[in-house]
Order: sequence, then structure tokens, then C-alpha cells
Amino acid sequence: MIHLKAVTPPGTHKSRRRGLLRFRAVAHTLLPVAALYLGFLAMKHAPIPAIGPYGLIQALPPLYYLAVGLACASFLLTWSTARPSLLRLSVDLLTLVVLLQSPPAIIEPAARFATAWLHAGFTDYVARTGHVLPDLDARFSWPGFFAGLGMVERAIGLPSTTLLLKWWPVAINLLYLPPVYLLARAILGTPRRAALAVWLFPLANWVGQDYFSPQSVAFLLYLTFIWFVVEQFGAQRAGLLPRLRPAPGGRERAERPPALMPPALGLGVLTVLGLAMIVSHQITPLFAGLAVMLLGIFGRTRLKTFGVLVLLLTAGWICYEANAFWAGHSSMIFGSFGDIGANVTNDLSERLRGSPQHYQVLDVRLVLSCFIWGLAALGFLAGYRRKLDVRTPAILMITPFLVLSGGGYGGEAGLRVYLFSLAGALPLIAMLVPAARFAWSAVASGLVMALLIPAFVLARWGNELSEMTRPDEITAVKTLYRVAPAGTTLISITPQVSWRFTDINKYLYEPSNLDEFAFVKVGAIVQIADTNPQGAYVLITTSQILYGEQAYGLPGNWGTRVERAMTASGRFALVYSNPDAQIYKFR
Amino acid sequence: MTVTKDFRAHPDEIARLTIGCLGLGVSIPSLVGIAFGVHWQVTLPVVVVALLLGPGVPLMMLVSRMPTAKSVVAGIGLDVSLLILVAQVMIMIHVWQPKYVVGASLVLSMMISICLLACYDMV
Repeated sequence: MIHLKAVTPPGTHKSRRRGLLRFRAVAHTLLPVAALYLGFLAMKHAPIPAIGPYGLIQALPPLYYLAVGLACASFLLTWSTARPSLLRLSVDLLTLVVLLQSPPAIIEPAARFATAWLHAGFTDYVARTGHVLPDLDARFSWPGFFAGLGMVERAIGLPSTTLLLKWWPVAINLLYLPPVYLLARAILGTPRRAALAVWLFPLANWVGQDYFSPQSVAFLLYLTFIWFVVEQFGAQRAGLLPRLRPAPGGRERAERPPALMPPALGLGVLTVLGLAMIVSHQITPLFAGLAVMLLGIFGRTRLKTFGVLVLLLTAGWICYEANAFWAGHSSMIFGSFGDIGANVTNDLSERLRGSPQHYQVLDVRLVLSCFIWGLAALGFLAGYRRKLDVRTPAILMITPFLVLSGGGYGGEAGLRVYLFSLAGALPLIAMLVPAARFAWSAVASGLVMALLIPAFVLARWGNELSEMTRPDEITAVKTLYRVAPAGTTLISITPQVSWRFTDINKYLYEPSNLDEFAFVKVGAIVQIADTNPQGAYVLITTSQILYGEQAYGLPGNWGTRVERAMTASGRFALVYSNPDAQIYKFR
Repeated sequence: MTVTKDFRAHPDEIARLTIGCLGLGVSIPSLVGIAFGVHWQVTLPVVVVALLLGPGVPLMMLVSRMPTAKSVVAGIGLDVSLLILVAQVMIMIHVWQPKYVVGASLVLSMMISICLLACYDMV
């Protein structure tokens, strides 16, 4: 009996391997395209009425998560190859940022977030007049952003910057990626770890400071500034304090490349970046100055005094140009200086209130932040064992916490601390990846991403019910501006109202402070309205009422009760109404 | 004429050529758009790219030994900062001439791009 034995023809293994590689290349090219297509399809068909107390996560169909998963798979495929292609990584990153940041722009008919509309109004005013109004709003004491955008707006004849609001977060998040990557690369030395750090950035950045705002651009400048300090003026020598370990060097320690340009020129670039931050935003230059100062103290940069200079220039700006602000708010700035415990408590307590669903969203935000910081702590230990440069990222991560000791910053300092700490936390997390065995790292990274995707959607877009702007609300505000004579008082019952996007100095807006809102009693409204002999109007919108429910925990019918009480008082007459807004005239 | 194997451009030189051409390619239409008041929907993308790219990016490539990616990041940071600072100075001295200043910035960007192209040397 003859037994036939299958013989593999020579070259079959090679051709099979070649076929596998070709399949991988084709699949790899198609994955981001498929992710984008499916993601847009999912977002296009997401129903607006499905947006509930948990935000966009309730409206986005499973197809969306499949799309984001495909983008992550595409990244992991690139990342786990022997030589990851920077071009492919860039395409994957672009896909991820577009998928994560564009849902509101695609699903919602109008640009989201009331403060973004307000900033558009400030910018348009500067574009039109070339002046600022520091007495009207404290933000005009740091007008760099409004001036820069206003200049471009006027030069190209843009009718209004409200046209930019929708896609601004996508654009600015894309601009964050290159400096985040280069900073991670400068710290970590290897492109693979740096790629993981930059990939995690869009997934970890739930803070939402990327809307049309001075802080969104200031954060871009901060990232560029810190990268430039580490790259151009990085050092590995003794600082003013003793070393963490006795001697430098080690198997995985990255060699510092030589300086990229003459030091004087480098200092010039840093000075320009620093000055732009100082004139644009209140606390970003503090983060930058403190970070450079600490990097100098711990011997991670040759710039020993530049950080102090940035802090002094910041103080100088506050004294000279922002005196209108600090003259009335000195207790807010200096009153709680050094009281870290009280500032943390104030920041958290101002954030942690509202409806049960709102609490759950806040819980997810806290857990997500602690998860990132926890991974960074583990990364610190891993990096220390692997003799990597752990001091630079650790300083960048810890520095923002020092700002908490400086003041409460109206309940937003906690958000800023988390955002700015990412610059150091993400490179630390990337240190968890060993030099070899990338397959296991890819599996672990995939699991982390699987956790981060839904957590990000819930944390980032969890307040969308009240933060979205409805087209009827904008129509009502435009009507209000048409019917209300100049000089009258315009009153809103909660701060979540998208107005002041035009004619910012034509009316008196009340209340002017975020903490004074949530009027449940009509007496408070009458009291404010009575102060202006020229008259007053009250605007009530769906977003305001939902904000009261979500952020202040008010009962579901509180808006109706306020309206009924206003009508019953006989002092208010309904002059305009649409499904999402009502305007009452005070008489 | 024979083409030899050595006739190859160095990657840095190709990057210089690309950035120089791009700088010119977006500055000129931006200037034309602003000067003739072309509709904002046409000028907005071109001017935004032109202002992000220049004069910082070609300047970084001209005066430093930075690789392209680093020049682009530092250049964009520099451009955004300069826009903010120039606008801030205009407000402080009460001279508000956005068209002229943006135009001057584009001309500067064009000139630096030309300098960059003039330094182009194919190895």
C-alpha cells in the first residue's frame, strides 16, 4: 500500500507569509477608512431626542463604538509592528480624534456650550472695534485670544466667529497631538512608547476645555512650551536638590540629543510662547512657569531662572493690565492661598452636586481621572526600575497640583489640574510598556482602551442634555435682541444660556456671576429687574431648566413653577414663545 | 545628459523644498484673497493654513537644525503666539488694522519661504 504524504512545495511558506503581510497591509489601510465611514454613519443616524441625563452615550448607537474600536485596532496593528510607521500612526490618531470629538458637531444642529457663544461675542466685539472691555468681564483683562482671533476674523471678512464654534474642538484637539507626541518622545526616547502616550491623550482628555476659548489655545501653547524646554534645554545633571538615584545611566536611558538651535534663539522662541500665554489666560502661564522652575530645581533643564521670569511676568501682567480684575477679586486670588485642603474641597464640592444621574457622570469622571493617575503611578515605578527618566514626567504631572494651593479658581481648578497633569501622566503610563514582548503590551493596551472608550463618552458628553444649544433657543435670543431696547436688563434663571454672541455691551446681563443663579423664587428676579428704570426681560430656555435639574438637583417641574409664579405676580408678560424658549417682559 | 545614482535629494532638502513651496503656495492666494475681499468661505481655509504655517515654520527650518516635524510644531506655536501678541499690541496702542497686519505677516512668510527655497540644495 502506498501512503501518499503531502509535500509542501518549496516557497509555499514564503508566499503564504507574503500573502499574510499583503492582507495585513490592505486591512490596515482599510481599517481607519472603515472606522471613519461607520462612525459618521452612526453619528448621522443618532437621534437627538435620545440624548438623556447621561448625555450622548444614550444617543450613540453600537455602530459608533465599533467604529472607535476599529480605530483602536488599527492603531494596535501599527503599534505592534517591528517598525511602526509615523504616517499610519498619524492617520489612526486623526481618525480617533475625529470620532471622539465630532459627535456633537454632527448630531446637534447648533454649536454646543453657552460659554463658547459668549467667547464668540467677545471676539466679534474686538474684531469690530479693536477695543476691549475689562470692566464688563474679567476675561477681557487677558484678551490675547480674542484679539488674535478678532484680527484674523476682520482680515478675512468672517461675519461671526460663531461659525467656527462647531468644529473648533476637533481642530484644536488635532493640533494638540504633535506637541504631545514630541514631548513624550523627548522624555521616553523611543517612538513606540511615545506613540502609546499620544494615543491615550484623546481618550483621557475628557475635561472639555477644548471649546472655543482662550484656555484651549493656551493649552496648545503650554504643550509646545514644555516640549521646547525639555527638547532644547533638557539636562541630566544635578539640580539644586539631590538626585533621586546616585548616578545617571542605564540600559534604557535615552541619550539627550544636542540642542536644536542657538540658545539665544531658543530663549527667544520660549519668551514669545510665554508672553502669548500670559496675555491670553489667567492660570496657564502659572502652570508653565512652575513646571519650568521645578524642572530647573530638579536638574531636568538648564533653564534655572526662566520659570521664575515667567511667573514674574505673569504677576506683572496681573498688576498692570488686569488691575480691573484683581482690584475687585483680591480675596478670591489671595484669600485661600496655601490652603490646599480647603481649595480641593471647594473645587470638588462646587462640582459634585446635582441630580443622581449627574452624580454618576461625575463619579465616572473621578474614577477615570484616578485610573489615569493610578496607571501613571505604576508607570513611575516601572520607569524607575527600567532606569528611564521618571523625574521629568513626574514633575510635569505633580506641578499642576501646586496650583490648587494658590486658589480655588471658581471650581474649575480641579479640571485644569487633571488636564495639565496629562502632559506628565501619559509618558509615565507609556513606561509600563517593556522594551520587548510588544504582543502582550498590545493586548494590555487594547484592554485599557476598551475601558476608556465608553468611560470617555460618558465623562466627556455626559452633560450634553443641558450643554447642547437648541436652534430655537438661538432664535429666541435673536428675537430678544430685536425687541429689547438698548440699556435694558436681560435676566436668565441659570447660567446655561447661549447668548451675548453679539452686542455684548448693549445690555446689562444678570446675574453676572455663575454662583448667583438658580432662581427658584420670583422675588429675586423682581428685585434685579426693578433696579433698571429702562426695563428688563427674562429669558427662560430648555437648556436653563435642564441645567437646574442636572447641576443643582432641582425638581423636574421647577421651570414651570417659576414661569407660573412669574405670570401670577402680574409683573411679567409673555412676549415671545417657541418650544424651547420663552421671553417675559418686566412691567 | 546622464542621470547618475548619486543624483538624489536628501530628505531634509525635500522637506525644505516642500515647506518653502507650501509657504509660497498658501501665502500668495491668501494675500490675493484678503486684498480683493474674496468671500470668507474661500479665504478662511487658505488663510488659516497660511497663518499656521508661516512665518514660523519656514523660519524654524531656516535658522535651526531641527527636523521637519519639530520645525512644524515649534513654528506653529510661534505663529499662534505672534498672532496673539501682535493683535494685543495693536489693542494696547489703539491702532486696529487687522488687514494690513495679517497682510504683512503673509508677505513676511512669503519672503522667508523664498529664502528657504533659495537655500535648497540637491545633493
